[in-house]
Parts: sequence; C-alpha cells; structure tokens
Amino acid sequence: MMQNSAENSSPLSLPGSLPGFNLDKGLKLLNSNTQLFTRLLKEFYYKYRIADEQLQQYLFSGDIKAARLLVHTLKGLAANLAAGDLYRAANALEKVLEKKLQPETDNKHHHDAEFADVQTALLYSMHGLSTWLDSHKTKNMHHYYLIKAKPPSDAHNTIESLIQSLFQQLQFANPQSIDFLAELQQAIVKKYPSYVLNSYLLELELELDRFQFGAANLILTNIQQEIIRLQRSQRSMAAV
Amino acid sequence: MTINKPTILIVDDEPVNIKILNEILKQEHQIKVANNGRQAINLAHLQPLPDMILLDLLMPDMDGFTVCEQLKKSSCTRDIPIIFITASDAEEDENKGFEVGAVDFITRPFSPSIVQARVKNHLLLLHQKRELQRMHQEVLALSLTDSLTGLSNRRRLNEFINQEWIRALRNQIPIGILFIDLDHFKNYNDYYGHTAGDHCLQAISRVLQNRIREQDLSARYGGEEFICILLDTDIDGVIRVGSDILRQIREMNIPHANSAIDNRITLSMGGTAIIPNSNIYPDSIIETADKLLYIAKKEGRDRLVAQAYAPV
Repeated sequence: MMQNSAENSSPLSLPGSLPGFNLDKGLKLLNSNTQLFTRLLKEFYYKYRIADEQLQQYLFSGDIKAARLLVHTLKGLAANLAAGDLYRAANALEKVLEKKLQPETDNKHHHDAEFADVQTALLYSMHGLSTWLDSHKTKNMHHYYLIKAKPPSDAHNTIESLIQSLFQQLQFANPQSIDFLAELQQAIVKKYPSYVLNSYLLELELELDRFQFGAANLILTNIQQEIIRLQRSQRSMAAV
Repeated sequence: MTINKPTILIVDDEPVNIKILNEILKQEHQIKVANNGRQAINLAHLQPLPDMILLDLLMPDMDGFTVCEQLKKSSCTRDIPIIFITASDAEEDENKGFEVGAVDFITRPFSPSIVQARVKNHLLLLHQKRELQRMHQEVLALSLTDSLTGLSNRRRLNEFINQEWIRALRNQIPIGILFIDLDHFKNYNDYYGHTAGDHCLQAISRVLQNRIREQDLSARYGGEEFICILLDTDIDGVIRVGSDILRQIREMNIPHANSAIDNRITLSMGGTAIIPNSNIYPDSIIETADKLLYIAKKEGRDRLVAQAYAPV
C-alpha cells in the first residue's frame, strides 16, 4: 500500500514559533495537519525566497500585469499559511497595481511605499523560514517521498505494473499521484542502479509535486524506455 | 480508485493552493487537478466528468472568468457547478463571477469547514437538480407511452410521423407504414376475459417492438390496433417486415377458441410506402394503410395487403 513517506523519513518538525507566521492559525486552516503545513512552508520558502527581487524587476521594467499576478499569488499563499503581515502588505500593493492597470487612471500613484512593505514582510518571513530550515540541516526537500521498503522478489514485473499504475493516475490528473512514486522509486533504484534513471526519477518527483502531469507522463515514458535499454544491455552481457 | 465519490476538479496555477484544497476535500471526494485554464477545460470534458469545479480567478494566460465562460458554452460542462476560490475580495470580481455563471465565491483565507460545507451544499443541489431532470424525463416518457403495452401512444405517433415526414421530404427517402389489427379480438376478450386480452396485446407488442429497428416506431393506435412507421423503407421492405411479423405471430400460436378464422390469434395488416411530396400529408398514408387493412379483412383476414402509395 502506498504511504506518504514524509511521516517515516522527514526529521523536520514545526517550531514553537516562526516569525511572520501565526502557526496556530495556519494549522487550523489545514485541519491541524502538521505534516502538510510543514511541507507547504518549506515549499513556500524554496519557491518564493527571491520573490521580492522578481517583483522589483517587474515593477522596474513596467510589467504591472506580471507584478500584480505575483503579488496576488503571494497574497493568497500568505492567507493560506497565516502570514498576516505579508497578506496585508500584498493586499495593499495589489490594490495599487490594480488601479494602475485600469486605462483611465493617470498612473501618478507610486507604489514604492506599498512595495517596501511587501519586501519587508517577505524578507522577515523568509529569514524565519531559512533559520528554521537550516537548523534542521535539511539537504534536499524533494526526497521526503522515499520510503524504506523491501523490494518484492519479482522486481521487474512489479516495476512494470507500478509504472502502469502511475500512468493511470496521471491520466486521471490525480493530485495523489506522487504517493504512487515512492514504491516505484525504491524498486527501480534497487534493480537498476543508474545515474540516468535517478535523474529521471528526481525530475518526475518534481513534476508530480507541481501537478505537471503532461511533463510527468513524458518523463515516465523515458523511464520505461531506459529500463528496456538497460534490460537489453544486461541480457547481452549475460549472453557473452 | 473508488467510483462512488463525487469528482471535484481543482484549478489553480499555484501547487500549494491545490495541496491545501486537496487536503480539505480528498476524504470524501475524488480529486482531479489542472494548473491552467486550457488544461481545466480539457479535463472537464474527460470522463468521469467532474461534479464540481473549484476555480482560481487570477491565472496566467487564461483567467478564471474566461474558463468559466468557456465551460458554460459547452453542453457537456455547462451544468457543472463552479465555485471561484481566490484571494481577491473585490466586489466587482465577485459580481462578475456570478455573472459568468459561478454558483459561489470563496475568498482566502478560508476555513476548511466552510469550504467543505459549501461544496457539500452545492453537490446536494446538483443531485436534486439531476433527480428532478430524471423525473421530468420519466414523466415525459410516460406521457408519450401507452401504459399497457409500453409502445408509443398516439400523441407520440403524430409527433414522430410529422417530424420524419419533413425529413423524408427534404431528403427524398421513402417512409413505410404497417397498419395492424387483431382479428376478432372482441371475441377473445369475451371468451378469455380482459386480463387475458391485456396479456395478448402485450405479447403482440413485444413482437412488434423486437422486429423494428431503433430508428422506427411502433405505436398502439387504438384498442387492438397498432401502427409501425418504418423509416427509409420502400414497399418491398414493408412487405418483408409485415410478413415476418405475421409469421412470428403464427408461430406463437396463441390459442383463440372464439375466432372465426382459426383456433389461434391472427392479425390483419395493411402496408404501404411513399417518398413524400409536398402535395401529400402524413394522414394520407395512414388513411391508405387503413384502407388496405380493410381489404385484408375483406379477403379473409390473417394476411398482409400491401402496395406502394396511391391516392385512394
């Protein structure tokens, strides 16, 4: 049975407090799912730690639409993760940018003050997250789906059936598809130790985590083909 | 994968938002996800169709309003309830959301229990709507069906022949008709009783229904009278179908001790076919088939009399 492996392998635990975040409120929004909240905070950090620079670039180049989209996203995430100051700052900046996007405005209102508030809130939150993550010395956020399972004896048939199973999940656009990856990863790594396959597996994990099912489908096909190539190679060597 | 849970499609360009909603809803629902508007529209058309869509408002390339409008234009997806979930608290966005067809609007930060409650309520409304539609279809079908035999009733026959007449006229293809009457049926009822009479009518109806194709129509025209409308069928086809029905009824050998013809149930039939023209109305072909039926009765019953349409 597939397990979410974070509970088995991730040592990361939620701190007592986190600057910029109301942890109690955030947990309440997620039905007290500590594991999920932890994962989302990590994801937020890795994806948006330079968002202030990105935002600054958009504003400097006059790409108000892109700036607004980014601020809107930050606002939504801040709301979901209970980052109150960031939420308020992003909300204020978004309103200014919305006005700038309307054709009838004279664009005289500057966004500097509102941008500065967002930047401050972001840097403050990111600093807190960085300190927390560094203290756990988490090396790679993307390996928390591997589980320590004994591979079945008939490894290849299992690998093929696991691959087909994952294809089905991708076809359905199932957000739990990544839960089907762990056992497959373990089986492949044991039976076919290969740098190429390991790279594909890592890419696959990334794409599944971002719900990019089209890209995941392509990578899974590549994995299938690479396995076939390795099998042929093994058979030729055995014949010799 | 469980197939009884309602399916919800979550559409958001930000994976964190998807994960949060998935966490809230996955226990009681099957979840599908899309990262952008184009993907959402494609997934909404794939089986199993979603029972509900949770849609982000602001996305790159195609925003939530456009996705909603597209979905409302398609017959496959127009009835799927859409709830916008967004960080936007602007009143104009909410108004526009309802204008393009959304059923609800949830702003972030949201409470998980509120999301669950709203989703549950809208799914319940959807279920009730589908149930009403199903009942409406049932009532409609009943209003067009003869309750004893399950064949179409006269109302449906008139509707059918009028619409098919126009089609056949436009495409210049033949329509065939069989007018069928059970011989000495009053005697049958008198001898065996009306319950047996009803069973006999049902047995005959089953033969008619099984013999015709899906696009044709069998109807109960009167007490023991039936009409079969055979689309794209010329007189040879009418004769073939009519003869086949006669043979099957003979083979069934339903006893009729009170018949003047034989000791089993027999039918008389009038059959004709025509390529419609604008000078003739559908009633004319029914009248002709009726008159040919009369000839069949006069010539001894238990037979088919058929000829290509000629004004009688």
